[in-house]
Amino acid sequence: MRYRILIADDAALNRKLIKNILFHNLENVEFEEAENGQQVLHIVDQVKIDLIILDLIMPVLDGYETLKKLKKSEKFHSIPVIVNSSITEIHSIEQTLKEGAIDYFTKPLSENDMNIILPLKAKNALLVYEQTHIIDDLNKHISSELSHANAFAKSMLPKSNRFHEVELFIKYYPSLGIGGDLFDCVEIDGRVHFMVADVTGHGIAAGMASSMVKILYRKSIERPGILPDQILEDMNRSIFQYFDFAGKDSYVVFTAFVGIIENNELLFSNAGHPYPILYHSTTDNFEEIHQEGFLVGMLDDVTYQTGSILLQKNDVIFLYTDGLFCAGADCDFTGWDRVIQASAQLKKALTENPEEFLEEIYYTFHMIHKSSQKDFNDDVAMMLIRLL
Amino acid sequence: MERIFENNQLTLIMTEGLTANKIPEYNQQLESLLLEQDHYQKCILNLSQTNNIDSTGVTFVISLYKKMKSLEKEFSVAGASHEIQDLFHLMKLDQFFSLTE
Repeated sequence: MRYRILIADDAALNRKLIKNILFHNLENVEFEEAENGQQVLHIVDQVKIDLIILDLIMPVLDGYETLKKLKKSEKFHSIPVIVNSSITEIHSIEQTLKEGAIDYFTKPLSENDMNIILPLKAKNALLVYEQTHIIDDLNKHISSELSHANAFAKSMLPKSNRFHEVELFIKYYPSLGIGGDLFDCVEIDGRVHFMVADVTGHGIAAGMASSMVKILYRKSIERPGILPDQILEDMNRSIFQYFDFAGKDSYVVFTAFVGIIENNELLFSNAGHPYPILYHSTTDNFEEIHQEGFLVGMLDDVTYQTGSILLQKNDVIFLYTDGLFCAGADCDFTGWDRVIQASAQLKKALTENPEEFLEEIYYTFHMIHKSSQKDFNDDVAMMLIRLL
Repeated sequence: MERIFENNQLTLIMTEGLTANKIPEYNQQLESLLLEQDHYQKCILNLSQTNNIDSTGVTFVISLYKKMKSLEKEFSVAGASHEIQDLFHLMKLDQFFSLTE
């Protein structure tokens, strides 16, 4: 890589001296020269500069003002600047370091300064600048990749929809990056199949695993008449069948709640997922849909049970992932009991405007987390199913 | 994570939360510990100082249980709060190992 160094000094002799020193001690360098700050600003706007050696005392626009303008500029603030001035200006030099100069040297230059100190400072500044560029590029690349991954994860979620027996409402608040939350809801042969799942862990690995879970789920529910416990067993078996790491590394381990609605009956099976909430319209009551079950993908040959509940018109099933009640680095998975309390307080919204309910409950937990100085740090995915 | 060897028994005391940000460190400690020591018959995971657990923390507990099972050691969890016990009950883990006070 070739570096371009801009030497700004009103004294031609000083510019020549610095240029000579750097030319003989650094490889792959070329130079630009400026007699004052105004020329500096003009040159950086015209050519790519990798380092500025800036004299503080110059006519037209001095080094202090030039540095301030550079550091304020979005385009040029990252160019490293080494300031220099006479030893009597040392306090001013100190000030420029606070303003963002990367280093300094004083004039006149001693032999040591010329042969060792100045080349070393210039070399270090160029290295830092190069590394900053690499990190910036990497960050941009990662952000772009995460943004694509996030869009993909979002596209896997079902959209709010209406089936012949139920109406579906969805809210998904992705965290930065990508997580392992997954919802699905699809009607097959008059049966409404749905699942909420949460792959353990966070980040890209969890996101990749959640897309596999969706495929396993869809494959499993193709079987006519399959029951929820069989779906969970099927997915668990498939994980141990397809992945060598199953049972050793926890890449595809998840909690899940699987349900089928057919003829106003809810058939369900739970694999360690926080209890969904059921609102009974006839009694105006809330209940948690209790059932215990093993995590999927952790233990081979586990079995599940299918429970059933008769549903009425306007009953509502509220499903959510732990990102709702579990926040901060020290998040606690055991706090799901707060969800039913909050849901009961928002009963009016739940029965009259499900979309508003999903927003309100998200806001309620936002405030709960704020009160403990925490923020959501995981995806928050919520699905609400209302019987027609 | 503190460890105590006593009477053929290895006790692992979790002094912080069992959450995703801590699990890689616990796994490392555990790996070297299990390489160093084999003179015990029973492993007790003491959660009396643990207030937080997330799903990754649960997989740590299950992995430890499975590791002990493969080494033919007994395994139990002690001192877990009621909330953590409820969680293990939700995930049916109490069918694999005992939860003691």
